[in-house]
Amino acid sequence: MRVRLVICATVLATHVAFADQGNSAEIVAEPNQVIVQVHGIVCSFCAYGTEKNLSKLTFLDDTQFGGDGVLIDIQSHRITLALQPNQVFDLAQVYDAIKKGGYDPVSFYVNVHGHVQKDGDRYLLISPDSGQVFEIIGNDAGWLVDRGPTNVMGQVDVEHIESFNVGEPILVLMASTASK
Amino acid sequence: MPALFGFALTNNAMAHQPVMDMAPRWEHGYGFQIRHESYGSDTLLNGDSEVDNSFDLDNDVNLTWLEGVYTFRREVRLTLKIPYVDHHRIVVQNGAATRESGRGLGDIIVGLPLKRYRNDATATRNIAFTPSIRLPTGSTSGQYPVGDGSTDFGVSFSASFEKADLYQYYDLFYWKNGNGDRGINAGDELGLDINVGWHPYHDNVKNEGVFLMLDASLRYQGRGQNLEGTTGGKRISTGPIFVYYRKGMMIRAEYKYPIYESLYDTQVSRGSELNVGIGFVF
Repeated sequence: MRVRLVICATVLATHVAFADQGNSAEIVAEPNQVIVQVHGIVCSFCAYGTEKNLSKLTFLDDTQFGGDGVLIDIQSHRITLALQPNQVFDLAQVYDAIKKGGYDPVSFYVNVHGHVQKDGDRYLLISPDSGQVFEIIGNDAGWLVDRGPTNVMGQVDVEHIESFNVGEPILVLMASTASK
Repeated sequence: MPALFGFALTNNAMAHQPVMDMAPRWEHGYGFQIRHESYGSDTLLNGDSEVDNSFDLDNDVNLTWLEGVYTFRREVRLTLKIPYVDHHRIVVQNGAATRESGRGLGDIIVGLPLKRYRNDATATRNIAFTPSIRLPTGSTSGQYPVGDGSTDFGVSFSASFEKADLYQYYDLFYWKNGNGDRGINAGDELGLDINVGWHPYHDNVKNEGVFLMLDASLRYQGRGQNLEGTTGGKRISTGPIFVYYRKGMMIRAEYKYPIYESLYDTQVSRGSELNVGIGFVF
């Protein structure tokens, strides 16, 4: 099983949309962040268990957001996670922590730094720091190939997260925006 | 002398939500709360009319509740409430006003909230069915016993709806009260609690905020009997609720004032009620 990440891509200053942007146009994940759109998260006291679950994830940067790397925004119904640089992050664990906390994650937004290269029919984004590999799917990811280090921002469909198998080395992305 | 004294609707409201309906909703979450509840009055009512209280009859009840909750998964919880009772009253014995008191652990209530949740883009809601049992753990000895010796069965149907700035909660419950010791026989109870609240302040980073709510409580208790006379009646009360929370800690203060009360025979009013509690979830 693979996690499917939907990324839409833009080159710095040149916006080139080539995939389903969905709500991602409104949500901008900074580098080393994951933003999760969550249904039902309207009270942070009620979401205390979710925050506690998330704060146990080893790839979070617990120097941010009040000391646990987790920011719950009940107005926008989003959870922002601060990631440690150069670490593999596991969106399936994020999904599981939120579900066990009593809420329903619906979309994941990431900003991944890496090189895009063609591998047969696939386009792979490889993070040089963590070694994490992402497969980009979408209308056309070819223009990202051999651009050098690129930040690619993308959206993950929850249906793909649900079927994710922990330990799977490749995350499948669908490009949304990108910048050098 | 008419049967004086006895209106004492049992303290079962929200028996199924020790900390709040809101939490803990996460798997294997748990929490506890210490809550002090006090009510009392020296107003003597015949039906819904105040009558002369020449003996200065009164009732003063203080309950300190230790309440716990465990969430197996968000749909299934287990709750436990243990009260420590400290109360006294003035009654008429042999034609003279006499003070009676009692203190000790009261009747334990165990509840099993079964919930069904729905999460929407900007709201969360749940409905719940909660069977409860009240066990006769309180002593029935003394002039003013802290227990009645009966095993009681309750059921609650509740619904809540919550957005980032709005909270609503409705709870309809019924208690079938069994026959107790020493001729004590509390009537069955029917109640409706409504909480409507506003969430005016919240800090996302500190996980801190405030709820301001208005409570409306309706109660009916069938005619019953305690050691001093008739019990039961109807009551509508209302008042504000203040809630402050920070991370997994919540403080709740609630005041209720009776806007309507009608009692069987002649009894002392329950009076206004004050509830102050602090709870923690983990």
